[in-house]
Amino acid sequence: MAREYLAFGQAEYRDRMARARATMRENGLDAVIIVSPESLYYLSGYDSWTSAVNPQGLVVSSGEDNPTLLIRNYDYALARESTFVEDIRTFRLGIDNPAGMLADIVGKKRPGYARVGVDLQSPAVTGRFALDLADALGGGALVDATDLLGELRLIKSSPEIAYIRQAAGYAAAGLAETKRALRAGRTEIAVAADVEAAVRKAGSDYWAIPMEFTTGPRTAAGHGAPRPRVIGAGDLAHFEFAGVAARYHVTAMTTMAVTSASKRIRDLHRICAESVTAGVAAVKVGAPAAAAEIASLRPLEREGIDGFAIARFGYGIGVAYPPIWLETLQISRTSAHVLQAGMVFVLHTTLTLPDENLGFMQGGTYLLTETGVQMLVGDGDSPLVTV
Amino acid sequence: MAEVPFAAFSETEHRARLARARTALGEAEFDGCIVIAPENLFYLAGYDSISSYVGPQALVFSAKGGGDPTLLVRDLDLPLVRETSWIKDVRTYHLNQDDVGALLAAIVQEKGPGKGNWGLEVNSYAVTAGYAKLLGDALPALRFKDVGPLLSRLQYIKSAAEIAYVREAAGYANVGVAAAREALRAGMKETALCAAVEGAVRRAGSDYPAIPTECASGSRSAGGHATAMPKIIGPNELVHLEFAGVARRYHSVSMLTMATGDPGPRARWLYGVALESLQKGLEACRPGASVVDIDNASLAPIIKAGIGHAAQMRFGVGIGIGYPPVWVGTFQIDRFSDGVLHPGMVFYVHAWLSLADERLGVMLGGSYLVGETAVEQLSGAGPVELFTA
Repeated sequence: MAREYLAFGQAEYRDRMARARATMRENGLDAVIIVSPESLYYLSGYDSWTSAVNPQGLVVSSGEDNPTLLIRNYDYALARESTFVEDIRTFRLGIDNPAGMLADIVGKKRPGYARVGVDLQSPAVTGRFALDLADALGGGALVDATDLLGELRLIKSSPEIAYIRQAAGYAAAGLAETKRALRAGRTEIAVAADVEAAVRKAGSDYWAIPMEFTTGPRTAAGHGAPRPRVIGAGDLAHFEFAGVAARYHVTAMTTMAVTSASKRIRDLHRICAESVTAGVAAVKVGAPAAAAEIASLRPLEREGIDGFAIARFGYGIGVAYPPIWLETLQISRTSAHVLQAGMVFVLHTTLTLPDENLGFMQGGTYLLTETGVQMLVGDGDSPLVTV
Repeated sequence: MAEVPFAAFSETEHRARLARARTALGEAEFDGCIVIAPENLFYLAGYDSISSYVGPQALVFSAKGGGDPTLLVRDLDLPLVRETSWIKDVRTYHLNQDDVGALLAAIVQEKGPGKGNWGLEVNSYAVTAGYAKLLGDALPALRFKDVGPLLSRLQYIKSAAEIAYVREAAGYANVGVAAAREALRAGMKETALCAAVEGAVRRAGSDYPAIPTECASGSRSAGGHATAMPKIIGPNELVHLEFAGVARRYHSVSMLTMATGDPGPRARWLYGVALESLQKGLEACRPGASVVDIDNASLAPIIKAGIGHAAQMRFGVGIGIGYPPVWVGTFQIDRFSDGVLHPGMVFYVHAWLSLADERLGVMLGGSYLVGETAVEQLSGAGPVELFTA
């Protein structure tokens, strides 16, 4: 029995494909070759992380013909269990030429094509594969379709939101475990093991980015993975990790103190939480995304510490595969996006103080609906917890 | 606190690696190199981070002269550099505000020469088409050539310090094998089996793995690269797992196929073919052996059994430092390559048979170290009889 793990009904995929084709026509594209695993999953249901190991691609023309999926022969069973696409072709790694095969498929669907989009900003599209595709397509036909494909995914349907709520539940299980597991005398890796196990045992799928968790002087690091460092009394600690359902990611984060917190830590944490409050208050249907980051900076500017906020305030999140989970929605002062109902995003204030060996991260994952913004999981703007 | 508190290797070891890299670059007529792939940043600079996929970063050095390398990272990641890297000249940029291309162009000019053949890992997932274009636009006088295989070859033969990490990683990976056998029972979800294995590996002390746990049971067992689905593992099913233990980014892989009760004669027969393939392949693994002979030895039992179509595998791949999304090295143990095993090499092998039409698959294997006279099993179930829960 095929397609037993197709995540959505046919109507959902028909709607997605229709929207993809409408935007292709608006942008003058004859076809797209979709390589990034998140867009492959979104448009075809094909669920695999193997874009990281070898090329694969879904060819969709701007017309009404059926899409074609080209994958490595090794992965055929994965495609058959998860995609509705019927025209599945395979190549042999190191023997066949997948870029040439993809160009041939485009040529059959759209003879005389002039512009073909590829998600060129994806890690799955290496510099070499992009050159191979450009050569195989010829005539300067290759254009970047990263944003065009990424924007399709920003507003979530109700079946997507159901998975997102499920993922939030898994992340919440991990967040509860952080308060039990974080103790002086344990190593960062031992604490991370407990939190990850809680998320996974709750039912989570694998996550796209490893858990970020740093303690003590390591907290100043953004993107820090746990190390065999022994946690000490008086240490600050922050976590960031995701729960995952049907590849939909929801990110939890929290900053905590171990045993006790110095006045400096308490003061900075309070300002960090005020920044989250101010930023979240600016999140409204129809508001510019830039307004949220600008509002989040006000409490920091008042205290003269906005220079420590070096990460963006937020970004869209949804379907993800290793090594990233960021969508094209940016919530930063330079963003041109407008916030809309159905968007799901991470909002967080991070303070990084390398000279003081201190760092903070407060916020969570939020859903925007017609009636307002709600936090799905995270610590939001809550006061500092000491364990 | 030590100057570099979480340095995995001594500055001396890193400088020796850099010297070997410069020699190899010179021999291959490169003038300089822009290193971006996280495994190579870690190998040469000691810089250990997942951030290659979040923002651009690069280590720049010339093949001859030009002094020590310069590392460019996002400002957010500077503390990660300071805790792991011996590099002194570290520069930062602010994402979406500073011009990364202009910063890199200035660094290349300082290192010299600002022209000629420069290395770039164009097959790395960290070098997206977008990043490659940014570099091409910012540095039009450079001719970029693929340096990935050259940098990977430097890492084929492990030092004593590296082998210590590999053995530590193998210990974690073997904890996972024991946990899998302990946890497996009919009626559990695939994700629950993965949770038990991952939890045990991580609690033993493992760093995070570069590839998610691969797991497929029963009707899904023909799936290569399959990760857990919300499927209940039924009675009398085959279940296979592939996962790694990790110590300071050095990966050691475990693979095993188990059963919940009697999976039936066809599955037992297929397991027997895979077992013989693994045994024959491993018998051919010794210092000085050619990878073609090894791959052919592993294939012979499969062809004799009349299921050559079920083997979409290469027998083995070199392994070492890994970051998401991959841990696959460039050293190939297959019949299309021309390598030879040398002492100090670490690789993983697998007998992987997939009968897609019968929805049946078996995977056996693990990680191995080439010694002076023989090959040693590091992790994985290896060539064993079918384990039944």
